[in-house]
Amino acid sequence: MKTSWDELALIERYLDGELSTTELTVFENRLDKEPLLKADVKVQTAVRTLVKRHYVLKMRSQAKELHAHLYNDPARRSMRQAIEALFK
Amino acid sequence: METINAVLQPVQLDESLYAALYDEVFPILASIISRQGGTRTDAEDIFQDALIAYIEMQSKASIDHPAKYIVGIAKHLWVRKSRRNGMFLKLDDYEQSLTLPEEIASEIQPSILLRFLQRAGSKCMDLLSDFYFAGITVTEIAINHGFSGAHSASVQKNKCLEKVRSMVKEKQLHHEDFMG
Repeated sequence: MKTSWDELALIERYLDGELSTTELTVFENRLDKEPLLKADVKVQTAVRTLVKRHYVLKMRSQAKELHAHLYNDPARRSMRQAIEALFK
Repeated sequence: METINAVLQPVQLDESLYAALYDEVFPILASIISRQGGTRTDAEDIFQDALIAYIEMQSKASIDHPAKYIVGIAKHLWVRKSRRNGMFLKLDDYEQSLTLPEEIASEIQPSILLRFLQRAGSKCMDLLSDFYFAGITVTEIAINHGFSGAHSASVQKNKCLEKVRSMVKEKQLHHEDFMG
């Protein structure tokens, strides 16, 4: 069954720790009683973990490209030579 | 209204920020790693991860001395990497107080599920990355991804979330260890 956007927004606020004390109590009571909600939270947690991994891997790949560009930049030739000397 | 396929511009590292920190920090770090018996590739990998950790941390709280923070995180990463070769690297009080962000601390290998999501929904993964982790406003996200405004970006985010959730649910049904 499709989760409503309002329900998703509530789950997101729960995961971000943004629910008020009252809202949290209500939400946790629902979690105990509603297996579907519990499953939705599990899926949303998985989605966030996967998006985070995607984000870090993408940043790593961009950092590698930028690094290679800067390392080979003619304007930074003396810096490159100094670094190469360190690892001889 | 834009379709999901119109989502443009992936997560971007700020080139001028990277260049400034590269000029300031990489020579210091390369010197430390070389004295520790590491290679230039070690220094590069560690600098890049430390810089990503800095960007992530900075999106949550202001960091007064970026160079000091990056060197500190880099030293932690080096200590972890070189633990087995018996090298000793002293951390000062500030450096000892730093903790590695979870995703930087662990070696991330793209799981089967993540590779699937990156193939089938890469634009959505990029958009969700910006919403959850880039530390930028919805208006900035709208501009970066070519949407007409914040509302449109939020609508697309919800559509993407729905799409990725359904893909995850599908895999979850068929594989116990779907996060693998």
